[in-house]
Amino acid sequence: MAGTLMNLAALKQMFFGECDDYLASANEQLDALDTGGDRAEALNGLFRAVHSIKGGGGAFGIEDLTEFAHIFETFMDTLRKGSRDLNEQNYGRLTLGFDMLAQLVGAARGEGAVELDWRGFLGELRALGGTPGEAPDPFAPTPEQETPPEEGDEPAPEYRRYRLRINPAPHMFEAGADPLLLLRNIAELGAVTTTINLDRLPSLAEMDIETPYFCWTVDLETTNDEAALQDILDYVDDVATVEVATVEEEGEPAPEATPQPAKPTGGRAVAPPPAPKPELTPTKTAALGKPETPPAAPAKEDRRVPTVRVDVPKLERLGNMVGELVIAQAVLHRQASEIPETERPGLFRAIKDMSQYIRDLQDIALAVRAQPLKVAFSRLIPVSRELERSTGKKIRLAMAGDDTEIDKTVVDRLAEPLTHLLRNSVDHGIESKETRLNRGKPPEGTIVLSARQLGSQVFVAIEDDGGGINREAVLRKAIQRGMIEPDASLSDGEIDNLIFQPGFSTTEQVTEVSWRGVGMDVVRQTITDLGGQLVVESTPGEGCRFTLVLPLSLAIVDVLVAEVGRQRYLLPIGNIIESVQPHPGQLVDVPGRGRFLHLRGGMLPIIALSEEFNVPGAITDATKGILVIAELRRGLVAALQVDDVLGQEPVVVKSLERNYRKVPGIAAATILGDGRAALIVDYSSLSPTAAPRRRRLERVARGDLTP
Amino acid sequence: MASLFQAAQFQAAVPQPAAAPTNAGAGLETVEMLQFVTLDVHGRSYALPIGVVIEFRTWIEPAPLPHSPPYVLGIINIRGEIVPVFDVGARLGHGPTQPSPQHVITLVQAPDDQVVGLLVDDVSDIRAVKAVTPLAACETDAAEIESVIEIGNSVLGVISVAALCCSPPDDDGEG
Repeated sequence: MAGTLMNLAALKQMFFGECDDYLASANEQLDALDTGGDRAEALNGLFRAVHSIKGGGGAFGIEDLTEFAHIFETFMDTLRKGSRDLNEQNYGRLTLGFDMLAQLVGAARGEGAVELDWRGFLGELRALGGTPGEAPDPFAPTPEQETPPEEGDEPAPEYRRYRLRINPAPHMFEAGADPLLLLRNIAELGAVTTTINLDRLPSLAEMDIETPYFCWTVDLETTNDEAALQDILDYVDDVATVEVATVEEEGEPAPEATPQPAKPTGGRAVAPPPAPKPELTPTKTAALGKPETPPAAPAKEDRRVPTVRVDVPKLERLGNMVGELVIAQAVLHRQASEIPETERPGLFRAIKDMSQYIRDLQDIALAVRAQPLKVAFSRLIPVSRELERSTGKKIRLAMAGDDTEIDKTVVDRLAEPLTHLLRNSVDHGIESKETRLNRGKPPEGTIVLSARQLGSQVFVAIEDDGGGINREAVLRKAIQRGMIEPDASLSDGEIDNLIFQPGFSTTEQVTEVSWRGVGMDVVRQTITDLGGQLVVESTPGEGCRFTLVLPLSLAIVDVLVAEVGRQRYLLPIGNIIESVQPHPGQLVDVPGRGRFLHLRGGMLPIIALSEEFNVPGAITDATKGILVIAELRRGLVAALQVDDVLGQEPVVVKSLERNYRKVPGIAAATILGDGRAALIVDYSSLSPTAAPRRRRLERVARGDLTP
Repeated sequence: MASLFQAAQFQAAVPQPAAAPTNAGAGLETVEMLQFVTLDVHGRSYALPIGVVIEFRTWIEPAPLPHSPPYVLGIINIRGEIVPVFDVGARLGHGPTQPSPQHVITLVQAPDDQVVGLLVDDVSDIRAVKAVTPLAACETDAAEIESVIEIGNSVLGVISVAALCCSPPDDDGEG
């Protein structure tokens, strides 16, 4: 950002990104309040979140958001200071307020509408007291209506008055110091009247972004002594000169305050370090009369690891380049191995070192793209509260393993399916309070969100302690919809999986929260598109668990390199169970249904990749080849027949559609270590019955009818 | 970048003709010339507008694509990008090409910003002509040939990359 001016749209985008962070952390704080965490810290955190959103909202002229945040903030301040009790009712107001805030942010961003009655809620808050425009604003000396300190204004009369002249040194920014922070800290001490001096401000053309041009005169009225002031000033000792004078006379030293033409709501703009203001008006801010309330904000921020926001396309380019590097490295390795050893002393060692660095780099590139699932999980907290309100059921949402990291794209795209799964659990899973009590369960339903990483896969589960899938109802509905024959006999698992069929819904009566037109088939499709799987397990009367099996990264997959004829096909190892070399006794031909592998008492259909992909010259005798046992999709394990297995390697997934089109049976393409292109098999499109049927048809077509 | 590649590599690969020796020679200042790359496909000559040509590569064995028409030979790696290779001989109905290291894959710009490789026997020349004759009223099925150009006393079909890339209606799917 240094040296360049970002355009407003980009800044606004950034603000929305920050809002997401604020709202996510707010959800955590609300959760902490609910579960008995540090109350003061949580309330301060919540207050800061709203305050920051309000500031940004004001800066970008988002009026509804600013108005809401302003009044909500006032309400929160009373909780924070303890002048209002944090009872259940007020906690409810807090959570509702944050849900509204999230919707207002969403609406401002053009995503979704505000469905909650926020104006009504504001009316309620106003009625509670703390009139608008009276919001305490302890953070910044920015235009604000002149207001008296909020609470009882009769503390000890021993006010001291100081006049401070703050003159930043030219290297102040360079040294990483922020004059805004200084002004805020001073404002924490008492009531301040700040006058800005723009004399040094050059014309825009001459302006150097690294140089501070503003000076300030701050009139401070405080009950603190000079030592407290000096504590603050010590920090800026070498980056600014501050003259402190004690003011004795009675008369107001500062010129009269004229309010800035600010937002009609009284919202104010928090400018990132001082922005040029056209007028030389003194700015005035209200400050708290309670100096002993420590401002936790700045200290808190400092403890966090500094972060940088990066555009996703940039990350993608990084990932791609690292992928290319891995391949180039492998090519180099291969080429070098062709040089006689005597002519390359040290070369191999050097290449080996390099590959280690490149592998580390690859891990880092992956880690950079990774985000904790907390990001996706925390978005479910407001959803669950909304569901509690609309269904009248009580829900406890518990989380485990939410610091498990996964590719950012996956995290982003998980929000929707997880929301739907949560809705499903609350709507269809968790029983009404009465039913739960009758079944001897606690009245409050529990939904556990959990995540864990296992190898290159991440398992995300959403589990409820509700009634489980009502198989009778599912079956009835499926027959009614003509999805299955009335006399079909299905296993429990098969019945459970019917809910993933397109257009299926067991809701007898469409409730407000149910689906909004989106079915479980869409949820499953989203997961499949991400290269994952969605699995349901249900125990009637005890609950239901949906498990999402997701790849750690979309860009890189571990594959088994299989040889078929003279070609190579890549099998993602996530689905592979084992590889076997069968002996003749294990092979069974079932007329009309193809060939099966008898393995540990089970019969697995054999799919010969050479037949599936019509590869000439491949081994036809399964006992001379290798059978790779893989789970093609939920509940379907098959043996894939290949000639040989050459090894395992991580590959960078490349699009086949970019320059060609989708090919049946192929998930994507990639480039192997020798620089050659190869195809990654799409398990889900393989079918045990397709190949024999196709083979028969082809033979008939050729007039070659011998089997 | 593509055009730089094109010029440099082409000059390396193809003996440069001194100048357009035929009727295209005179009056160069006034008439805008159209340039074509001429290709050899099973003893026949075809032309490609020079604007679509990105680069020439010697034969690289592609990884075959299942469930594809016979003229789709497979995919190759071009600087980290996956590019399909089409056999122009097979595609134009002259029978499949038996590729050898002497064969040339011409990388061309296809619609939708795609890049495809065209396998031909050889690239013979760059020729400039004054005009192309469209085959608008022509009833042949070969929409892959959109127009012809005259070079000397022979007529060359100009290959339409767009038409070449889409499958003929009766030839989709299984190989």
